[in-house]
Amino acid sequence: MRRIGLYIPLIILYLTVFLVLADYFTDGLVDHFGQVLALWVSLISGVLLLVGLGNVARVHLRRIFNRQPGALYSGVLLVSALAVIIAGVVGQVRGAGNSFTDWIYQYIYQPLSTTLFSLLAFLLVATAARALRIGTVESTLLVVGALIVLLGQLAIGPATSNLGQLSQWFQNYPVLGAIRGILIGTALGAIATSLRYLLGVDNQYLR
Amino acid sequence: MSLALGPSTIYIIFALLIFLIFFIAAWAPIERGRQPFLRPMRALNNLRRLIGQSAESGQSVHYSAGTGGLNGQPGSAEALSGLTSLAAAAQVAARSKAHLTVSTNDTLTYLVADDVVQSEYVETGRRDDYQPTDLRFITQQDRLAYIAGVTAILGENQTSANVMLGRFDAEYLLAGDQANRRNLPQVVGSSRLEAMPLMIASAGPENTLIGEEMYAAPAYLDRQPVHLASLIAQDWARLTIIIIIILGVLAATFGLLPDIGISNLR
Repeated sequence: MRRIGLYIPLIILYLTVFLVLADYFTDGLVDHFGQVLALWVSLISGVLLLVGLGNVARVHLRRIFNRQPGALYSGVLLVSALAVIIAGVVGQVRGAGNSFTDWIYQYIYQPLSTTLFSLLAFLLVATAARALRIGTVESTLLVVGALIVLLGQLAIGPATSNLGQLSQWFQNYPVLGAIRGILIGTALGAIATSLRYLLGVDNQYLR
Repeated sequence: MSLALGPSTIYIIFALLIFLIFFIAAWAPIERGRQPFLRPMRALNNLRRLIGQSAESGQSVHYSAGTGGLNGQPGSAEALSGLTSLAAAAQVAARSKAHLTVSTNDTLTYLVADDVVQSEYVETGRRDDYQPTDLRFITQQDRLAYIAGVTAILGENQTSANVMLGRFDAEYLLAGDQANRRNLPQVVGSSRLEAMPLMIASAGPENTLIGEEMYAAPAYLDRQPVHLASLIAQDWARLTIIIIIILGVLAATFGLLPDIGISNLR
């Protein structure tokens, strides 16, 4: 009986794969089946968000109760999460829609996010310096190549025009060739991984 | 009924069938016990070593399967590959009594990762050592906030190493910098061109998996026939593409393919 139970997920998988592929490759056979499935997954995902929220609460409450390092930040995180949830609920109850949560997003989250992203410029320089310090051939080549391309893009004057040509040559030939090679390999890897799952042979759910 | 993508449909199905034939042809001999040669990959040897070291020190290894989601978001294939590698890493961790802290950027990925890790601990007979709080849901499809969360995990004293295999973009550098500040050893890999140079510069070339190497990780880590066959099929497909490219270049050079634009270059 247990053996039959093990095959049920496989049967569902093969049926779903057949219908989704038929929907993708043909018109008029099983139209919009993929879209309907994607909608189902979105609904399940929405419910699962509560499970995720439960995990966040569990991890951070444990840290607060055990007075572990960073307990203060855990408290701030939980209070913030609660504030956003309350703002969303209150907005809906009072008929204000998402105006409260939109305000939080626009004036608190977005500036913080942009600030964090802008840090990357400084980290990039620090990482380049570190790569040079390590002194491996690959890291050094990487930094030297980056410097040539960077200086080639700058309009300092005639002195950099040769560098500009060199930079363009770099990007048109060695870099483009390497990128295409990597992209072909990556695409093959993605196909292989997807195929394993579509065939049901990477079947961790059957254990 | 008609073909949705026109004549391209036939080409795509043909290419998939060729790949499928390669896969099955590679799988049969491995199932019969023939072990294929795999070139040494230092990054994956380092991954095993890091997990072993964390078992000795009593600390934990941080693992991330990337920022991709499983609900049609970009990076689904990378997320699946990252989760398969996670299963192998969790198996090594469970056997060597090490701890993994797994962070996720998606609810579905979180649920699958939780199941994968729990299954490995149960199969190894260490069900009691499995801690649900070692699996952390950080954000729902928010790459920057997720990396900020990962940075916080890497800042914890109990974290002894950083493993990130999946889809990452330039924001990886925030986590890479934190790992470097704490001198944490790293094993990283991404399929995104935006992240690859940053990973090489941050973690070092010997600890970075580039492009398809990341998809090869499961075969190296667990050596299951299905993963090895998939890896060999990738190699055969790559070889086929290389041969087609060379033939195409020769044909274009000798004027056998005038319509690909070579005449315009002249």
